[in-house]
Amino acid sequence: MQHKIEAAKMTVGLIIGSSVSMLSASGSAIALTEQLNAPHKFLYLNLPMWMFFSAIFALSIIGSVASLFTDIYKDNGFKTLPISHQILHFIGGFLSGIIGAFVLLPAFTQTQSPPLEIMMVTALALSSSGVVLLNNWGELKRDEKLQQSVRQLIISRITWFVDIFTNNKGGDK
Amino acid sequence: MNLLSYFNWQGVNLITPYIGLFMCGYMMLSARHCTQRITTSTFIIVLVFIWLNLMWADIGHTHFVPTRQTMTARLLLLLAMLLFMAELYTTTKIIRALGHEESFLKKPNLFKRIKK
Repeated sequence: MQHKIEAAKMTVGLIIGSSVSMLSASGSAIALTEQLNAPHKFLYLNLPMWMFFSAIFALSIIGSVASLFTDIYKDNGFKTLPISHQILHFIGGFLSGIIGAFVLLPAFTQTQSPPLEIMMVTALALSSSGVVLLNNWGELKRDEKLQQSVRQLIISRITWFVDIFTNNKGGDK
Repeated sequence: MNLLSYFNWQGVNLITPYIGLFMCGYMMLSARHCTQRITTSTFIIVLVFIWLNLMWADIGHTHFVPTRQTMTARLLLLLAMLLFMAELYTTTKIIRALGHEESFLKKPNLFKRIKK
């Protein structure tokens, strides 16, 4: 009977201890939600911060969807692509917009909190251009003939330039 | 120079990247400007990065001060983009006029190598 009371006391103590740790963890979570609800002045309105972050997400989505309508895919556009390619294109655009706005922009400008308007423009611009760049890079890597012709072009230009000096008899090098 | 001092040159300096980005977006999405070639689309994306970096320079560091020369350079870059847009428009029009037959347009290597 005694050890059952001891076990019950230990269990109650453990429950209280874990609930305290849970409260402290949720305390930091509450601080985060408070920060996200903090108002920021934009266009004469005091909007909560989470609206701006969701606007950045929405603009990344809009940018990557808009890049589907460009001419980068042959055979009359993106509708002839398989669904998996379209989804990969969309996800790549979304990720490049988010990475550009939250990683590249603070790193390049060396400010910890860049203005939210610039973040939104950066997300929109980089989401539509990042996936076009990735597509072009993929095409360049895939096309062997294109790589060979680029290499031959570089080599022929270098040899033309070197020939100017090697064939120049009596002139200064 | 008194007349010029009434003009808001700082505003002109700040707005040129936005105009440049809008023009890049227009070129990529317009049906009259063909950006199917790798070089054309990469060139436009590099222009997007140029304008983005200029926009970041305006807000990032405190020691970047725009001068008359940097502002003139931005305006000339806009002018160069306008000329490139006109060139692309004309080239697209010529190629479409040359190949209005469907079989000619469906050739995959059409924009990679123009036969003389």
